[in-house]
Amino acid sequence: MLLPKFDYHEPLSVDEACQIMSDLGEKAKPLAGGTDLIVNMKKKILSPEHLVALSRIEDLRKIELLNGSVRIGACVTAAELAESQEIKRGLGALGQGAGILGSPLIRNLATVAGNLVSARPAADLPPPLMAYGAEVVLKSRRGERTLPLETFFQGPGQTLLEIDEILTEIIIQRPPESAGAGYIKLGTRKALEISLVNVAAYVALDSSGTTIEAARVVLGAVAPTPLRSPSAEKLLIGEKVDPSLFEKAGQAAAKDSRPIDDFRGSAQYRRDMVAVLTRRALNMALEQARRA
Amino acid sequence: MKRFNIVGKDIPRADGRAKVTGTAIYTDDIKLPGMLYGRILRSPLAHARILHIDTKKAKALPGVKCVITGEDTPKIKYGNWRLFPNTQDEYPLAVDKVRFIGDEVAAVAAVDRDTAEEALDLIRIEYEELPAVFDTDAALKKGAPLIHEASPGNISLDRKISYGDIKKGFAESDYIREDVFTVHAVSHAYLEPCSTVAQCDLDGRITLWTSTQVPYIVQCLLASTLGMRENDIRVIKPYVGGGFGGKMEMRPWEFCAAFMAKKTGRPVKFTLTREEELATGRRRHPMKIYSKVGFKKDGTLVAKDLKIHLDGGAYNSMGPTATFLSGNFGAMLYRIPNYRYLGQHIYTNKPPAGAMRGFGAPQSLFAAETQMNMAAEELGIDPIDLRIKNAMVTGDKIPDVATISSCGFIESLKEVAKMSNWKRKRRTLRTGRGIGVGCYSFISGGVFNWFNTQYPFSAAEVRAFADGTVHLLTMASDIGQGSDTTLKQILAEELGLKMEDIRITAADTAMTPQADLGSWGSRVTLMAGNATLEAAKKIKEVLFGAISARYNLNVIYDMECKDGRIYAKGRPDRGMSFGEAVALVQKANRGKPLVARGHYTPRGKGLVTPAFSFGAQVAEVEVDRETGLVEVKKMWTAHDCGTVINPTGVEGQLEGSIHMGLGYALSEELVTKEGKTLNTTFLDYKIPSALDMPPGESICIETYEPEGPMGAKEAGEGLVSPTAPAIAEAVCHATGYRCKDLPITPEKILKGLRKK
Ligand SMILES: Cc1cc2nc3c(=O)[nH]c(=O)nc-3n(C[C@H](O)[C@H](O)[C@H](O)COP(=O)(O)OP(=O)(O)OC[C@H]3O[C@@H](n4cnc5c(N)ncnc54)[C@H](O)[C@@H]3O)c2cc1C
Repeated sequence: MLLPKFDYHEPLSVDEACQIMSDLGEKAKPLAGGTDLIVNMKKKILSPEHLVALSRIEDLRKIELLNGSVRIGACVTAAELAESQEIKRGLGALGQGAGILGSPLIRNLATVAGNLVSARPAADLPPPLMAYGAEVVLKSRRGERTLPLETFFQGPGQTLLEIDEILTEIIIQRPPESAGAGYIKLGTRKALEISLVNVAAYVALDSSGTTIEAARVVLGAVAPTPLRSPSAEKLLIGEKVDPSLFEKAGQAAAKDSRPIDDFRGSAQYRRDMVAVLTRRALNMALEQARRA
Repeated sequence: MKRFNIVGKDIPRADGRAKVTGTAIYTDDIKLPGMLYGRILRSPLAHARILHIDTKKAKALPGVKCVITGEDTPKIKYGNWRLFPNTQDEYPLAVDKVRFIGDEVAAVAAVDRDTAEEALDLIRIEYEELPAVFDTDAALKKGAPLIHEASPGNISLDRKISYGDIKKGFAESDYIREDVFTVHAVSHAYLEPCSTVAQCDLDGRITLWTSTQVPYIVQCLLASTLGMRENDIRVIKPYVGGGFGGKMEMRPWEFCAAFMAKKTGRPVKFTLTREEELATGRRRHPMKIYSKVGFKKDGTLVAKDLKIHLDGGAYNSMGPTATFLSGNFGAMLYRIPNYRYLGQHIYTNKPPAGAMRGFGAPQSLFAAETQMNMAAEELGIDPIDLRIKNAMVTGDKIPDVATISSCGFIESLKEVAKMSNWKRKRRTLRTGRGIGVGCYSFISGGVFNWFNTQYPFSAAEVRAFADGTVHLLTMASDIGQGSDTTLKQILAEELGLKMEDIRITAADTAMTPQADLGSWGSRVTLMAGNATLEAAKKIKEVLFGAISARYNLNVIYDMECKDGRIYAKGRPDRGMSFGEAVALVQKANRGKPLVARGHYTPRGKGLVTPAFSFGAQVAEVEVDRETGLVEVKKMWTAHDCGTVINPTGVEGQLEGSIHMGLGYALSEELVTKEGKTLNTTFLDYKIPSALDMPPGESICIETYEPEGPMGAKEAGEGLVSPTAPAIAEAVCHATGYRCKDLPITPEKILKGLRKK
């Protein structure tokens, strides 16, 4: 299938890109790796008249450390995230998510911003990013705003991004030494999988290393958007670590999930797996937190 | 055993370099001046009467050169089972009725693909929707909607096999078990989607380049559906990116390309999309298998009663053959004195199932081998010991079918047990780990002439030249399995030449000798190999005669072709180079070229096949008892394919088979809902990835098949069958969950565990 006709823009700076987006409005779409957008254009689901390629904007391709925060440029690819030492140190769960996204070919193209803006319920990067409490920076000619990632998603394919806005970077506060996180994706194949369920979990321990001070549990593919599990988190925070606690947190997370039946798996199976994966992800998080 | 020079060596594939450098020309690479691009309009309904088709708007779209519907065509039905014309149930484009979602209704040819696509949207069709059936039980119900008027009860054909005394057999049995198995639809998922280019010359003759396994069958059926003479049609098979049974019929786009090329005077190309392939393409038959087996206390098999409902989808396709073979495979591997089979091929309103690697064996053997494992468990006999006790051996006769002329089955079982450390692992593996066995036997080509060919089954021509080269011409079709290389190896071996001395021209129906039935049923090595060998032998005879005359040799001398020379055995000085010998013959015949023909048609070999392969496979798995995920840790295979012509070729077939068997067992399934295929991309149709492939070890059991060329038999299809039952047994060993309905999904495993 051939692509619909479109004009192609290649701005060299974020300002220039914002100008083009502001001028063209609805007719334009930012283009990052294209692994989502181009596929949809070939299927004629989307036919933007203009594509604004972000690949030439150097500023969007960096991973930077700045006063205790990690700033990830919008166009950093999944492959780069998976390889990055900055990410491996302290943000391992994000590296894990990036490392099993699609296949090597897809990872070389797929960008972090594309993964967020496409807003697929089963996407691999939102859960770990939300578990780390990430924020997104959105820019347009009208100005700049920063939002917590968890408020960004509105439904499948829907976000708070305005028509003229560009997602420029993701900001994560570096987790404390006593924290850890884990990410698990469930699928029948070891590569090229759409998650049946995925779970990211984050825990921070107190100075004694026995009590959970902070916790986030994020569930993917079991609701229209990636979902935090308030019940599981409430159950964990302030409690002493013990094996039955994670079991209970898993059960609570399963209750919070809202999966559907489809040909990929039944709702019941997905719900059961939320419990299993949550416990396992929490164990991964705990192990990492204790290693510090 | 005979010692070979080239046969048995890892000769690199003839097509390898062209493929890895991207210079191999596949059908879709072909572009001809003025070529049009075709697209097919398919039925959105599973069962409906066509009331009216309006193509006016589509025809008026600028760039559109031709629009056709069934009404424009000669309306001649076709199908591969020419011997029984009442099985030929398909029109190239639907006439009056559509029978599945995807049934071909109209075709457009335009100056580019997108215009053709756009024109499809402009064709207006009025349908009257009819009630539809989507599984065999519903299709067999009294009063079920009739899919083909000529087939009451929706049964398109049945096949019976019966020998011994089934009643007596069960009466004599100490242990009887009865099970029902179901197996699902999977896709061939060949890398190259179907593609075809047709050109019509000014005399009205057609040349068709097409991605096919069966150029000769396409030629004949194209002729009959177009109302043309066979030899006014030339079919050429370019490089083909896999078929696995999915490209062994004439298909509607081949007809449409030829028909529209004739109509427009311009070449026409059709290339299917992956979505079309998955949503509407041929598939492996889903089946419901009722099997009853009886044993003596000591494990001796006494009787088997097998009934299979094949879910054929909307047309016969290759279903009749699958119906035949499922019953034959149900009786293979073990000595079963009393056997009865009833196979029924049933129409449903789904994309037709057809031939797919194994041709009934993966389904039939999943049931048979699983049942064998269940019986072993209940009889308290080790599954491998139970098999050895009942295994077929060389010389065994299968009534009405064949005498088994070579069989390395028991050796395979013993070897695979040793390699996998079977006995110890069966006892000592921890929970969650399991090991299981599955076996297979397969045909080396079919005997039953359903196509009703008027030619030999395979043919070869060998032309020998004074420069020391030879040219092999054959209609045999290399579709990626490597048969061009294998045939060259056989020829080089027989004539004592090197691979580079041989040129091959293959699979061009106007240039290669009549005929060859194509690549299916694992027939090529044995049948085209025998034809090649016969031609080579004739060439040798002529050359031997010339040398005998030249050196005035005593008639009792043996002669030999070796290392490019021909000489009296034991007297190498009495001889000359191959080229010199050819020159001598040619001179003696005053310039007439040295050419010989060879043929092969199986005779006196029963109804099924000239030779059977055998083998056994062991799988070790790890099952996550919380998620139900299965990881296959290792596969061990021991198999008998007769003489191994090319070890790397056999290894490639084995690895590909394991990959396909793994998908069949665990992850691949075409999911349909009310006749609509839901997973139409490779993201959702889950072929195992490279990361999912287990490591493996294998061994070839050496046998010599008297009917095969240089002792060879099949290695291309049989190996796809043992993987699913072996994995299913390993999963059961690991978890206690016994799978009787493929595929083995995590959800089924967890449900099975909970029951325990
Ligand atoms: C074969 C295959 C396998 C896949 N497997 C996975 C998988 O396992 N896990 C997974 O999560 N995803 C998977 N995907 C989906 C896809 O690859 C990812 O979502 C990817 O991260 C998208 O990034 P991209 O850079 O290619 O986005 P693009 O396709 O370029 O863009 C996607 C959307 O985001 C918008 N956009 C991109 N960048 C910006 C920006 N900076 N500001 C504003 N809007 C922007 C675009 O306009 C478009 O609407 C797969 C896709 C394919 C084709």
